[in-house]
Amino acid sequence: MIGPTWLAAIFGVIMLVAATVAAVRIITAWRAHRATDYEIDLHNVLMGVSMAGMLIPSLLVVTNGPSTIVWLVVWILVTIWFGASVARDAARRADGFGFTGHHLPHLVMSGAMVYMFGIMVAPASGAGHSGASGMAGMSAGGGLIPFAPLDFAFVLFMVGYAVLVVDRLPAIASTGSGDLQVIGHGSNGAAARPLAPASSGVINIVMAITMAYMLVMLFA
Amino acid sequence: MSQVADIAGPSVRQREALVSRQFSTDRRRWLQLVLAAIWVLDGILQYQTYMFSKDFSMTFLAGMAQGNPPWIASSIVGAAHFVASDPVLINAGFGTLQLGIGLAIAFRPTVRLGLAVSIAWSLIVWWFGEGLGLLLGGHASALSGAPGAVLLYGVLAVLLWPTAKNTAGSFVAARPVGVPAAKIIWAVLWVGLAALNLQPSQLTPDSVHSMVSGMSAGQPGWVAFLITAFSGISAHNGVVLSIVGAVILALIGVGIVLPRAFIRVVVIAALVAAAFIWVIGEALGALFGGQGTDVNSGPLLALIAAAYWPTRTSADAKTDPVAETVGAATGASA
Repeated sequence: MIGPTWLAAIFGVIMLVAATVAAVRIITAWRAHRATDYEIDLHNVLMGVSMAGMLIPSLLVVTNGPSTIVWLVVWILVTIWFGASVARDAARRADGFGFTGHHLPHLVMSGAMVYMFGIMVAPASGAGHSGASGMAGMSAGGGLIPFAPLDFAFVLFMVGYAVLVVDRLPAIASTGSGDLQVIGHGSNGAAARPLAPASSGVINIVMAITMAYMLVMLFA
Repeated sequence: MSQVADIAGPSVRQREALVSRQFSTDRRRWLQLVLAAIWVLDGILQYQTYMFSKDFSMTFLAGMAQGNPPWIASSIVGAAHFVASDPVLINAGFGTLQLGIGLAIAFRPTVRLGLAVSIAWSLIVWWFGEGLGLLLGGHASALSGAPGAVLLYGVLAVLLWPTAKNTAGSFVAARPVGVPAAKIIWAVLWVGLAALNLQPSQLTPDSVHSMVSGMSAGQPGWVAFLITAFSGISAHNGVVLSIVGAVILALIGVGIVLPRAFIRVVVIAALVAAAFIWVIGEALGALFGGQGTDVNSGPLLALIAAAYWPTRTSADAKTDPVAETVGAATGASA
């Protein structure tokens, strides 16, 4: 179930814009020696492109068949990556290093991507529209979607995460968030300023809301 | 090559500490954020395909007119026709407004605006979208979502309104309206729900069974199991179950006047009742199936109950993080 096509297209365009902004953040940070959490920025680029592909099938980023399986594998790997990051965060916290829990939302988002691509791939899901692509291939065929409680839990998490980031957006804008690092050619001697921290927060908000929308569309 | 040194400004630990200090989140702020999340979820639910159809307005919305007095029914039908005139544009507006309300409540500088709009919007939807919770039709029941979920959004907006008023030693809901008024609101809500159970329409052998028997369709297995089990129990036992339900709800309602030590028990009972209503009577808001417009009343009743949980220390009620944040941003005291 893709929902209204025009609405999915709007969300898809928003995802493309968000992915582009995240990519520009990486490039700008690289060239201007500004600090950013490149791990999160890369994740946002990947997620924006993936979700845009599902929302706008005509982009042919996500099609039924091999490309869906490739995307599924990619997101399984990304989930494992962020799982390791969360474990590392927990170890650092146990050592009294301080709170760095920002990887957890991205682990859950990656898990949600695995879930959505899994529904597209799994033959038992009822996604039997051989010619369909994108989210159109995620229809549950009129029945209850597989792992409906998990889907609902993902929706609740995404909505809660979006609300929390909005709540802390002013603080994020002034101080930044995550593991800020300088990438590229190294420090030029001066202390590097965080790169537009608010934009990173806004990207996370729109990603979470869009993902919640996509997961809700699976209800039908 | 990346490096973690030479970052201008605070370190990760310092940033988190700064955020914690500047944006402390007390119990009321957490409840506001939960309310914001529910509004955001409602906005997203409103974007489902069915809501953009004429069937939504002419069947779902117009259906709310049934059982209401003629002048109210005609206003509801009129509103349904208005929505049907351009369902795509109007429903997109509905969804976006609800999404906006949620984000406004979540964003500290606009929390008052968000809550104020939510009060107005909840009253409009309660009238035209929920037919005044069908209270005037004689068939409303707590188990089926009375007094209308959207009305509870408005109640919550009032109870969670940001204020610097100190009501240490009471509960969150008392801060904007005072302890006596907050207790009256609680009593009216829960005793009112109890009274609905004693309407003639509820005191029939199959009143409860007819409400829940069809709710299991399309639900996850464990939800369907619970509903089916209760449905079996409720067959021909509507009178007894309605009276038992009324007694429980009434006890919750009057329990708010008990000493502080007992109020926790009352609130826990209210939380259990809300969970029961949400799972058994509302099937998790009937979200699965693509026609759920909101989470229904269960979670909102639970949120209201949470706002009455006695505060542990006076420190929790002394400061208002939203007022502090806004005040710091504007240079004025809230």
